[in-house]
Amino acid sequence: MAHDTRVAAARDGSPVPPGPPPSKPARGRTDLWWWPFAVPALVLTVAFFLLPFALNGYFAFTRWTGFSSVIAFNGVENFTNLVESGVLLRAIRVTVTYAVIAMVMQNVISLSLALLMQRTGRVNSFFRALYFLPVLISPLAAGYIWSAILEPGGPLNGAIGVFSSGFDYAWLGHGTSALVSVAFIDVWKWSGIVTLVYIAGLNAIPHSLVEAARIDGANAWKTFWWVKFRLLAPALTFSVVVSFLGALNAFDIVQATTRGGPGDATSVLNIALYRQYAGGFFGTASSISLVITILVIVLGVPLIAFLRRREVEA
Amino acid sequence: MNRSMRIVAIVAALAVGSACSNPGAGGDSGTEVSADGTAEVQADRLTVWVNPADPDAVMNVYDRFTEETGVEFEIIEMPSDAFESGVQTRWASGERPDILEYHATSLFWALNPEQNLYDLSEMPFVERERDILDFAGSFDGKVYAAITDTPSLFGIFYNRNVFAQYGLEVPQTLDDLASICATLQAEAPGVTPIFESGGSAWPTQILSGLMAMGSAQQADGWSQQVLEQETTFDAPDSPFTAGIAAYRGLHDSGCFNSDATTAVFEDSIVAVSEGTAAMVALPSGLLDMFTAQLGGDVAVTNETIGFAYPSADGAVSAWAPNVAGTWYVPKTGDAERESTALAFIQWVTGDGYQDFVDESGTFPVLEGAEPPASGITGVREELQRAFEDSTAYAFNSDLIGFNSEFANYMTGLLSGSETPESIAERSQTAFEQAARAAGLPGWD
Repeated sequence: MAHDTRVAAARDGSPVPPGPPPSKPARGRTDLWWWPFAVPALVLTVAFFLLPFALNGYFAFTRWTGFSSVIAFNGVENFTNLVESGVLLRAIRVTVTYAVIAMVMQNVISLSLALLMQRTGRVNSFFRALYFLPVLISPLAAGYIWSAILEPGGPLNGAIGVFSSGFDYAWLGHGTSALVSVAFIDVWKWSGIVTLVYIAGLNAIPHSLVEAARIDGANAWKTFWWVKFRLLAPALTFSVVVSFLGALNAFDIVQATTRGGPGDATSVLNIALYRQYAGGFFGTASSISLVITILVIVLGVPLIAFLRRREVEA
Repeated sequence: MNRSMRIVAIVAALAVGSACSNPGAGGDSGTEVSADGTAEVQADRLTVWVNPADPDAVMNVYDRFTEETGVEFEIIEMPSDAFESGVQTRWASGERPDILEYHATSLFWALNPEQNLYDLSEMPFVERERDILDFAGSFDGKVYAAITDTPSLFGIFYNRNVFAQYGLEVPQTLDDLASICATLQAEAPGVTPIFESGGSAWPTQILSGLMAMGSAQQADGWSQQVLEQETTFDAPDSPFTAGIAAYRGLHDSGCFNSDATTAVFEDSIVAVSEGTAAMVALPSGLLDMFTAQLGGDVAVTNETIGFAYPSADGAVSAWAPNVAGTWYVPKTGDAERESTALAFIQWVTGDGYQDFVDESGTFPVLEGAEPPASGITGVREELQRAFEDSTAYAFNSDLIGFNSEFANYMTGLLSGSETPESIAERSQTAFEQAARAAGLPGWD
């Protein structure tokens, strides 16, 4: 940076800033001196991301099972089997529904909390830490804790029973409520991070703009909707994308609470993958993994493009 | 393409090229030890993969072998709630223990036994338990498993006091269960007739499938017919569909606990022990949990708990081998360790077997061994009688693809998203796809 400043200054005739003169590049030396520093990260990325990604793409089109030592190319048979059995479409439907529920709940709740805890103070700092605590808990532990809370004879129904005697609804025992409940646990687990992002976004909004809106007669809601929410666009982009794409990869919380049940009500794609893998059908499991990747790209790219465009408009 | 990019491309191409052979194939080292009962202890340490739910009687076998031979064991516990996938994951990456404790049902076929496991067909113990090994622990006519523990029987644990109080007969058929349910609903509204544990999922397969199908298995070898494509799950008049329909009838009649979709099997043991529920369908291996619930007193257990094995047309107990006490010898490429592992199998099915039977307190499955010195009484006697009188190999044991999904289908039935017919249809599709993918005989 300092080198560039000095060169620019010398060109336009302005005084040269103090400091040692720029050294000339040595003979034969190129601008690729940073390569050795990038190699470790590059190797790790290739070994643990690109290579598995490429291999998974190949295995998705093979008959690879634990029953045989041969891995044979079988075209799209794994995919047609998954479609024929209904496993794939059912799992995609459950996964997208789960992700939409989790994303909407997470952002509404987190933005509300951020508005409540925006100002820095002792009380707000305490509650920020409190709401962040679930982020630090293992997802499996979170799942087990909530399974106990949501039992028909558990504390949630006990609390509701104060108002409605004998209330014993099985939250995880009915398809729709199980899916919403598990998505809510995901929201509870990760809202702490999203809330912090929104708080940072709110604090980055120039106070003068908010003050100007109020002077112009805007009430609290109009100030939020026409000023703050518009200027929160970058934080919204990050939070919506992270919560939605994260939920598309759901597994641990679902496994700990419902294991995909009852029936297939919460069988997200990763649960369907896990079942194939556990049965020794590795090729079919790879096919589902490829579908997850494609789903993330197909849904994620337009979502990011839309939200980025909205940022510019805002 | 610059040099570094070329290197990356070569590494990727090599990896893709090597993908033509299964990374979990391993095995076949070319240094095979004779598995004919003559193996000797040559190593001083063996690794074993076990299920953490193993009873003490099984775990103590390792200690006794150490005392006998000086061989130390490194016991690696797989996670119990993801046991199969845990084993599969490590197995698929090429990792092998010296001794593997695993299922003797079709689940072990997914370990590619011909390639990866020692063929134990020539071991002396095989001729002493032909009646079990003809069904389980074998693949393509070869024996791979040493099964030492008494098989699990699938039936009804019932509370004797409740039955005595309301004058109930021990059920022989599924209709008898419906009749008992009706009696209890009329005379004992505080008692749940049948406790179901949809939250644990796996127990839902027992009454609806393993028990209901006992008659068809015993009379017609139904699962073998499915394997040989002579019938299907969803055929007209399918006993499979009929069994699930009978189960749904019990559910719809209010015979199950109100939290049947979410309750876990531990709840059922408490409920039947205390008499707040009359019956529960569980594997016989859980008898010890009833004893623990009843203060650890075997006499109280015998007075309180009984075992019945009703099926569609009469009493038939479905059986399947336990994971505990079922051992395999993987091919590791280390001849000394392989020899020692085979020596362990010789010992545990030979000189060490009687001590195991005495400690486990159940009847022996290897001919030539005596029943436990303490005798077999009460419920255990009923279990032995059930195994000797009228049994059928559990129908789902070899129906791959289906057997890992059945419990999910049944929780769907409990929550109302599945019907007996939809389950039959899905079961057939799942089995057919798996049979083709696995290349089962006749399914290539």
